[in-house]
Parts: sequence; C-alpha cells; structure tokens
Amino acid sequence: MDDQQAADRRARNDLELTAWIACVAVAIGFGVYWGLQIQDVRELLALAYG
Amino acid sequence: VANRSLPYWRSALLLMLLALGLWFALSPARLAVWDSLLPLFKWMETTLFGQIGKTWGAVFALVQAFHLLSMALLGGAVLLCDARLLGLAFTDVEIPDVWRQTHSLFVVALSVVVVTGIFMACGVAQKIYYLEVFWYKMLALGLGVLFVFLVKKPLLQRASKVPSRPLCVALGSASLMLWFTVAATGRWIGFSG
Repeated sequence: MDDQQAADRRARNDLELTAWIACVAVAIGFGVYWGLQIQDVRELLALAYG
Repeated sequence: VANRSLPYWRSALLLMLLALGLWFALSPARLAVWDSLLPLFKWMETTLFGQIGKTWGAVFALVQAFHLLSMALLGGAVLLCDARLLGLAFTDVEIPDVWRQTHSLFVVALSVVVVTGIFMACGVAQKIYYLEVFWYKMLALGLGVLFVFLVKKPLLQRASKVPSRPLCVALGSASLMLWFTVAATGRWIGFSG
C-alpha cells in the first residue's frame, strides 16, 4: 500500500515537473517569436519614417 | 516497471524532445523536410477538396465560416478554463468542474477546426506552403493540442488532486500564449499572399 502511494506521489511530482518545464518552454518560445515579430515591425517603421 | 526504474520519465522525455526540437529548428534538416513536403501540398490541390476549394468560392467561404466559428468556440473554451486557472473568473466553481465542461466543448470545436482546416488548406495548398506563418501556426496548434491532452488533462481532470496555485497560473498563462499564437497566426495567414 505504502509502495503504491509512494509510486503515485512520484508520478504526480513527475507530471507537475513536466507541466512546469512545458510552461517555461512555451513562455520562452512565445517571447522569442513575438519579440522577433515586434523587432521586424520596428525595423519596417524605422525604414518608412526614418 | 518504467515508473519504478525511471521515476521522472515524463520530465526527462520532455527535455529530450525540447532539445530535439531546438536542434531541428536550427539545423538544415528543417529545410530538407520542408522541401520534401512540396509534392504533398501539390497533390492536396489536385484532390476533390482542392478542386472544390479552388473552383467554388462560395463553398470555400462557407467552410471558412464554420472554421472561424469553431475557432471562436475553441477559443471560448480555452478562455473559460484559463480564466478559472488564473483566478480571474468562476472562482466559486471547482477547477476540475470547469475543466470537464470546457474540455468537451474544446474537443468538438477542435474536431471541426481540423476537418474544415484540411479542406481549406487543400484549396490554397501551394500558397500556404510558401507562407512561413502557416508553419508557425501549425507548430502552435500542434503544441497547443499536446499541451491540452498531455499536460492540462492529466493534471486537471481529477477532482481530488488540484495543482498548486502557482502551477495553475503557469498552466493558464502558457495555454493563453499558445492559443493566442494560434489565433493570431491564423488571421495572419488570411492577410498574407
């Protein structure tokens, strides 16, 4: 019974760690992608309006 | 057996997949795969869906209307669930209850989005093939679906074990970022080419 509970707890911790890693990866990807798009727009505006 | 020998196998697998994805994004293999997909996109335009989509604008517009409506439904389901996760709305309802209700809507909306999306893609296959933003949308959509079924679902479906508040906020924020990207790049495709 204790073994089963410990295994369940480990699986839950693993799932939560996976979720944290996924959230951080999504945030980094989102920041990089939209950051680059904003950079492009700024460069275009600079070209157009000096 | 896997649980006992490798207790953190999910996290390890995700880290390996992220490393693999990063390598793929930065390597020439990405362009080789892109090149190899051109015949598929050319073939898509020759299919019945492609012929109908190219020939009858009214049919394309009708299917697109269903695509956009189901995207709105999908976005609504995501927003409701994420608002609860962030603690912005429905705080008097338990998270697993909100999850259950919105997830069934999400699944229906996603099915319609995928079917109508394939039809629309067939009609303009070669156009979207050369649009960089189309590939980013597909990436965001794929990741969004994986995030729902492999991360959110196992964490939120059990009423007895609701994640901690910081993790709920992280889940809600990451989900919003992914689906915002899907919606924005989707509209971007509409205004491209």
